[in-house]
Amino acid sequence: MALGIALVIGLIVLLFVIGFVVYFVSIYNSLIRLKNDIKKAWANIDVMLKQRTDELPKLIASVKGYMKHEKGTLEELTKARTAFLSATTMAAKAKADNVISGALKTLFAVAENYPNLKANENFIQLQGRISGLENELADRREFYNDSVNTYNIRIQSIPDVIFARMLGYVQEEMFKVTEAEKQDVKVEF
Amino acid sequence: MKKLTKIILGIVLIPVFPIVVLWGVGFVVPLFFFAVGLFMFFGCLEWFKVKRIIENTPTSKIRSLAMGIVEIAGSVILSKNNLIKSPFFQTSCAYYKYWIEGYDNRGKNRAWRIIAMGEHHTLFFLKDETGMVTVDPKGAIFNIEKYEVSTDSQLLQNPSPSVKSILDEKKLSYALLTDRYSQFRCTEQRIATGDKLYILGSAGKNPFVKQGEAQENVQGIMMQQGKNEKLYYISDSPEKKILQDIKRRLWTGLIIGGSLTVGLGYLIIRYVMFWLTR
Repeated sequence: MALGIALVIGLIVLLFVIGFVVYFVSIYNSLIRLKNDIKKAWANIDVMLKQRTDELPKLIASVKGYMKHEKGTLEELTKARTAFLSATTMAAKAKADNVISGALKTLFAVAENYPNLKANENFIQLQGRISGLENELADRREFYNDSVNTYNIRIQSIPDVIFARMLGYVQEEMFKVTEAEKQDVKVEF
Repeated sequence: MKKLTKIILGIVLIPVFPIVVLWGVGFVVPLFFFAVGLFMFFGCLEWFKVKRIIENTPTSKIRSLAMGIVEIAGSVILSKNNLIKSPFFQTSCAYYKYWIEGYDNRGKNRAWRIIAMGEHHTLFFLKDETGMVTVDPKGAIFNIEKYEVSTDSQLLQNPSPSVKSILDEKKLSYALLTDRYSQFRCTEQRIATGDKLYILGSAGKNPFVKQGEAQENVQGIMMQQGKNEKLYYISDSPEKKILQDIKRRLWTGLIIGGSLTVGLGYLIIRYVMFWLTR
């Protein structure tokens, strides 16, 4: 009888041990996966940022003939593009991206004052392409922030926090929009 | 079957086979259920992995789908070139699963028994507020809750071409079936236009779109089963409900599988010890 009880307890303990090992391995693996998902989400934003940056010289070339009085806006866009191309860190790229997005918003709003420009086919095409990229960028920023949020919650929750500390994982920064970008562009007619 | 489950089944079943042959059928039944228990226990741990992936993957907008494993949600739009009709209700759809059951009222074990079942799928589109993407459901695990049932035996007596082909394929006829079954039940699940779906799978290149023909860069991508990441899940339930179902399945498997393993493992060990000390 005692042997029977010992056998049952032994089997239960064995199953629990195997179950826990598999459980902890899956926690470890999922944390690694989450961390890499963030990197991937950022890389996907970076690809779009690069595509948008590549379109900027064409846009500037197509508008500068019409917008002679908007030199400041065009210069801001050129500077932001240069800043983006020379940025090496994620934070610097995000900062430059915010400036570019703000400058583009202003440029497209100001373009409303130039009927000839608005009718220019090349400009219309570029505006459509850049607006499309901006929309996709907004989706991917949202996706990135969702990934970061899940990761930040997981590395602070029990029992994941144990592995997160062992791996030296710290909270990641979300992609923030600057206050200036949140405001509507004022256009004076 | 996953690698881990295969290894465990192999470790358990291969050395046990000669023992079974030597010690006879009395040993086979507990051993079989012990293996079933182990399979359920470790199979459930796989569901734990699926649950984690669903929880950790944010929902993407279709417009900005990136390659790799993604989660999307939207409404179904059928492709005009790839329409199929559901067998019993003749509804245009992109996926259907059917089963024909008969009520067997002979002897003591009166019950509904499955006579024939099968499924079929084709390409369709999924649309959200930002865009549309092609979906190839091949290889997906379907979790479709919506279904329709008919108990009208006319479906089998005067079968439509699609039902007739099912019966012919299974070498069945209404006359043959009525010998054994008193009632019939025909059930089908399907994915039709407007159905809201949740999909977790791999976004990859759409082989049906030639370069430069993709509209807004969206149809150039297709949802499919990944080459490396095999997980592909299609459901008509919202994510929260899917997670609840997986959790329920996980715990049921752990408890039943664990109990079978412990209980029958105990019997097997006692059996072996009895034979060794005899």
